[in-house]
Amino acid sequence: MILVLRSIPWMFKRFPIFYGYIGCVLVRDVSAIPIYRAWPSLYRPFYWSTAFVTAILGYAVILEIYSRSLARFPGVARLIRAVLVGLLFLVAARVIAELFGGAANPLASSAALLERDLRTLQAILLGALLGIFSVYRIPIGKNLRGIIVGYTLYVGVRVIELTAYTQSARAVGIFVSKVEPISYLICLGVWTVALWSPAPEPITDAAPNIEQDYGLLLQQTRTQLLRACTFLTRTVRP
Amino acid sequence: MIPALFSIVIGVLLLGLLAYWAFRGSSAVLRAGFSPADTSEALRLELPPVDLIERMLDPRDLAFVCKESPVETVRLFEQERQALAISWLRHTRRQVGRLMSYHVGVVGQNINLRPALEIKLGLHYVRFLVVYEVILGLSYILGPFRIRPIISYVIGVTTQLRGASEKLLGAAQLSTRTSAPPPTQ
Repeated sequence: MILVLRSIPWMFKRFPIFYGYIGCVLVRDVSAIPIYRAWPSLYRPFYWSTAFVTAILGYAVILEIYSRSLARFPGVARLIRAVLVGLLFLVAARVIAELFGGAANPLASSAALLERDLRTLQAILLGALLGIFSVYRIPIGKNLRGIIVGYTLYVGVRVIELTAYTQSARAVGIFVSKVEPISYLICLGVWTVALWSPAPEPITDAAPNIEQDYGLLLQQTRTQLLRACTFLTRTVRP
Repeated sequence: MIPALFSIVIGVLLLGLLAYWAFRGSSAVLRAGFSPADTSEALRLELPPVDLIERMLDPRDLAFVCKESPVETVRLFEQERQALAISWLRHTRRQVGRLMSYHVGVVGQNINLRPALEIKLGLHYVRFLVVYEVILGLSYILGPFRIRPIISYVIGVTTQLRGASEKLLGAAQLSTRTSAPPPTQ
């Protein structure tokens, strides 16, 4: 609530999907309280169905992170698009295999399992994004960085929690279900601090003119790498 | 059970990657632009002369020292050659690291980036790192003179890979344009 009220006037235009996601979660949480008190039997289906919806909305958040962070890096954006498409094909192949593989209950046997699968895929996508951010040293502004850290933390903890919840004994399941509010509170703290005030996106210098020709640069890098490899192996040749 | 284990591993790996990315510091993230001097330096790849290295690791030297000198001298000789070998290995690793660092820093903003070729280049780099680590590890364990027979297997594998790479590059492309001297008037 603090996050939304504090930063929505100037941040909503910048990160509309993220704020839409936060708004949905807020509405869900607020409406869950009366349902829990008045109709306890309805709470469980309500919780899992809305958790599934927010997991779907999470993909839109990842898409916003991707488009915002790589807006000034069209080359890397193309690379990560290829990686993401490849990952989606792998997941689609897995779903088809489960659907036609003769499983008694395809894809997932409950909402928790389905959400776990969705969150696992999100974790893979976020991992690919973070990996490419690290390799290509993509500069990220404070606001977007906060969103990425908070959301990735939430997804990572949620995947572990859902797996433990669906696999382990009841006592462990109850214990791990207590972890979710704590991790979510930490994420909200990260988001509130990061989005408290607007921060400009870091400015990057343009690439030098000599390397505008991508083909030439790629060729040179590969040639030099080949030279180094040849050098290593030739000097130790028996 | 396997999907659950897979999910747990993915979750833990994601948190580890997040910690690495978040705590690596803004100085590493906010890089400065590359000057033409950086370009020239990164693409030059100054490697030690191969003949010198071959001479330095010539087993005939070791045989001669073993024959003519006491055990302490042989040990000292091996230690010195090992230090030299490790030094040139690290030098090569640093040079290649700088080259790749420059490459990924520059191509990020290039619209013409081709994902398939970048992935292929990444695999070449991984191959280099594997060869480097194997040679370095064996140099530490066995010493530079004794790794030659063992390394023949590694060389066989890398030669096959190199053949594929050479096909890609083409024989005529082995000269680098930026490291060449500027045209004279």
